[in-house]
Amino acid sequence: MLSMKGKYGLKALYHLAGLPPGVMAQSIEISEKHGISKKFLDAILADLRHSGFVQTRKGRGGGYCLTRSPDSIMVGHVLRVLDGPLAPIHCASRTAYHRCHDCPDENACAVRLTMLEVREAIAAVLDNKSLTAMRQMVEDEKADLDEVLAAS
Amino acid sequence: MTLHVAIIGGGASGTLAAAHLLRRRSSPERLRITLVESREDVGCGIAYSTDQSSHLLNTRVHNMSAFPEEPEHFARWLERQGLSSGGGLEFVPRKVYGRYLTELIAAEPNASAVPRLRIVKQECTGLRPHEHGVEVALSDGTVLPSHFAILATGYCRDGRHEPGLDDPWSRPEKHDLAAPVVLVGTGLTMVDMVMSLLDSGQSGPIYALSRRGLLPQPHRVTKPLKLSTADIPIGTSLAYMMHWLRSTIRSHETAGGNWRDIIDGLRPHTQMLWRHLPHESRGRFLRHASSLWDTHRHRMPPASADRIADAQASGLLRIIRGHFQEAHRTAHGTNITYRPSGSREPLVLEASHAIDCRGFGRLSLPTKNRLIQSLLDDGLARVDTLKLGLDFDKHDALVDANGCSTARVFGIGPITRGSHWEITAVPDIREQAARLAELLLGTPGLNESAPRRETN
Ligand SMILES: Cc1cc2nc3c(=O)[nH]c(=O)nc-3n(C[C@H](O)[C@H](O)[C@H](O)COP(=O)(O)OP(=O)(O)OC[C@H]3O[C@@H](n4cnc5c(N)ncnc54)[C@H](O)[C@@H]3O)c2cc1C
Repeated sequence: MLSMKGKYGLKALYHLAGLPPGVMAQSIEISEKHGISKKFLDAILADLRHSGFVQTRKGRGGGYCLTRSPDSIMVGHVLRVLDGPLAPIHCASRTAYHRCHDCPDENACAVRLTMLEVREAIAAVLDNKSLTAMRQMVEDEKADLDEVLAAS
Repeated sequence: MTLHVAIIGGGASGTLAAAHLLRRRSSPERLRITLVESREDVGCGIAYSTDQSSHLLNTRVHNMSAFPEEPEHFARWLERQGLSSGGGLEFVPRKVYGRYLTELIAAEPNASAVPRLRIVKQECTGLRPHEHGVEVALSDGTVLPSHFAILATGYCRDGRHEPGLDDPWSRPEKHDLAAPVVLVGTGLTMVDMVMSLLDSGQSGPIYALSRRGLLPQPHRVTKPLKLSTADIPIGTSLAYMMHWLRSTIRSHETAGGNWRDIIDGLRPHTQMLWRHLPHESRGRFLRHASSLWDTHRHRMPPASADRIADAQASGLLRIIRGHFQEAHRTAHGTNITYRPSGSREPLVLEASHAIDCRGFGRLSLPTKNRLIQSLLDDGLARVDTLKLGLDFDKHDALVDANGCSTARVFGIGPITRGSHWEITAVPDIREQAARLAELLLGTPGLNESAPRRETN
């Protein structure tokens, strides 16, 4: 499941992906626009900075921006940093693995085997969705809505 | 319609490309492959043309099948040769693998009237892609019309090397076995050279010099952790990635595992990791982390590791940490100047000769490989951002000077290092060969025209 951290992190990146090249956004601006507490947002932005997705500049005109073009930043990659391995259940990850305490044999567990497949499907969607594609989806929705409104 | 594919370079990469194309095409009469190789022996390339039995594969038999979908292929071939098989876990001499590769393309079981594969022992001097295919120019002036060309030209070694240092891949001259020898570099090439020196009865000291003095780690039988892409922090900076790797290894070892399980578990994902590694992290990796990565990822067989350890214990082999500065030939041999790590004062080693074991660095331009230089001069290709090879897109199609993919020219093996990084070992090259075969043989729209006829 997407945590609050993951959700707000994506919103912040979505915001940064919409900035013209060379422009930076302050965290207060992002926090007000998307209704995220500034303290929480700052913690998220710090994680995104450590993992190399955003960078900061102090002083006037400073703030946050992406480290590279938004079409090379994938949603799934960001979520691994904020939420850990993409896994719908703990035993479906090798690195953040926890065995369920009531599990006699994980290799024969139908739920786990199913969730392993789900995990691959999640990765396939999220790792192919760039920040640019995310913005495009919103644009397309808006255009559709405009069409519907214009037709009615 | 018959599909014509020209493969330039008959080392391991070109041979694997040919083998995969031959294997996939269901109707045999409709494929023609021309393998263009300027050297006498086809199939071996630089890695497998050694004739020394102590030059072992650094990969176990069961990972060296030419075909990923048939992992037992090489082991079964070995058995047919009467070469005992240690259950696939053993390391056999590289020259044996060279024979395997050569046979892969030599014998066609259902040899029809016209062989599907033709070997042309010439240098390719240029390519001219056009709308329906590509013309392949050879050094004798002929032009081969084909639908596709595959560049399998290897590391672009062009015969140049550091003045004063010997090329490890050319036949060594006889030297005084009691005189010291210097090996510059402490990776797998150094291991090869130590094996050769020990075989020849070297009794003088062997100095192996590198900045950090890191030797390849020895192989152990491992149980690779089945990492999924979902587990790995793709797209993060090098610092983050290394931190993740270290802590994953730490917790795995705390649970009783071995670091090799993690490194080997990453193996299927390394190309994807590289593709998403931010550009400046790639440069940083090459500068700071690649030697550490290589020594853990590309390990030496236990037999070699034992001989290296014995030679170190007896004082015959001495590892020196320092920066190589220059090699200088004298009347009696070669003097090597280096700066020991942590010191400012350069020191000089006097040796009978010194061998360059630093592996394959960046492309030196202009290159004496006429084909590569002409592709660059004509704007048909560009060098990748790290200067490791040429630039290819994610389908391994050549990218031209304007950044456009060429639909007719593809690459395989180390020439594509800039896009994949880990594309030098057979387990990686064979996957690339499989993808390429699928792409080329499944290409729609091939039926519209035959390739252009020869122009001279
Ligand atoms: C010493 C060594 C040991 C290795 N050991 C292992 C191992 O144990 N396991 C493993 O998995 N991998 C190993 N590898 C890695 C891997 O197998 C090699 O990277 C492989 O040799 C790459 O082959 P290649 O065909 O791309 O390049 P090369 O072997 O360099 O072959 C390229 C060929 O192209 C020809 N050529 C180039 N330009 C032209 C032109 N214009 N016209 C005609 N011909 C041309 C050259 O003559 C050459 O024969 C080893 C590599 C080396 C160097």
